Amino acid sequence: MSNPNGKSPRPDKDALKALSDKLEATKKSHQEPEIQNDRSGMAAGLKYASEFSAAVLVGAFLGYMIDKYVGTKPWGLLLGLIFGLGAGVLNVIRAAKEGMDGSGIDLPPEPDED
Amino acid sequence: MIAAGLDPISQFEIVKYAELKIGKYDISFTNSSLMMLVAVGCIALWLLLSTKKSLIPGRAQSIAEISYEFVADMVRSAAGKEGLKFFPFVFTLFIFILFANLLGMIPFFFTTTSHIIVTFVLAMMVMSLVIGYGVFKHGFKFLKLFWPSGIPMAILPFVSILEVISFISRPISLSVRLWANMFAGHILLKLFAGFAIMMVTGLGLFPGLLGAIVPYAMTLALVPLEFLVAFVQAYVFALLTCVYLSDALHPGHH
Repeated sequence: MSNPNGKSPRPDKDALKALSDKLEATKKSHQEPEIQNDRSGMAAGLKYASEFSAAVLVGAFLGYMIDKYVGTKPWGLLLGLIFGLGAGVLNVIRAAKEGMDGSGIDLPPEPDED
Repeated sequence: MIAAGLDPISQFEIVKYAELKIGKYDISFTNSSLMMLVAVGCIALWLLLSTKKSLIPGRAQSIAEISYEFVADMVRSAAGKEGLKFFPFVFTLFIFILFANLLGMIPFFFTTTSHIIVTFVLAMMVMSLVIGYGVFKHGFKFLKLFWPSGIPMAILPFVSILEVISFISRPISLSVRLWANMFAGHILLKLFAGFAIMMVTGLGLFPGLLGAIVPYAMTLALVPLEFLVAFVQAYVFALLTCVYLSDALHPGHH
């Protein structure tokens, strides 16, 4: 037995576990605060604004182009606008997810949530 | 008359230094091109002079190594290990945007990234790389990006339309974000600095100096913020590039 105290290995294991728990706790409390998400408010606003408006613009533009070449005025533009709004919301949700853990660093790509 | 020199927009004016034309395309050498050249020159000088590959890095070599580590970590965390084959591209983008942003912070220097066409071209480079590599690597399967799994068949077509629009909107939001940050920041700086000057010229020396305290303090507070924005926006651009590249590496995962 490599047990220096000559006791049964059980309390040794417990002590080891207690120590590792304690270590873990100290590590956690001593952890450097990760890079704060301290981009200015304007930057955050521009982020969501650009994500949302870009999708709306693209949707409306696609709808308009369909109208122009297929001749379905005004339905393409209307539907494109609606889909663009939907895609904009999707973009904003994704953009918000990026900084969700508060570190300001994007989460790694996650598998499909289904 | 005073306001003419303090116009916050005039700093973004393109000035042609040498007229050049190919066919009907104007490719004149402008102040924007000059600043891009200066940025590239600074980067080249820094990297060439600092990487003597000594075992104990000097100051410049340390910075070069730190920036390498920084970008490599970013690529690894956002695009995985395979993403590292895009490291040269991401590093180039990051350092170029960073230098362009920071050089723009020097008074009287032109900020290339405050023109949307510049940032849009950078974003289109990213998107064409994503599409090109995705199609080259996965062929037809790349379209799985727009056909997410695990969604009921009834709404899948609509979701796929949303995904397509969302994908097309990426280069726009990517470029608008960088451009708008730089543009708005520089206008804000010039505006507040202009107020301080206007106070003095408008109110006379002593009441003017008193009135100039507040706009001057604002300018003082904005400058470090702008430096932060210059860095953060270069970082965000590079990070989003990695995220999009990870789409090209593994389509069908979101």
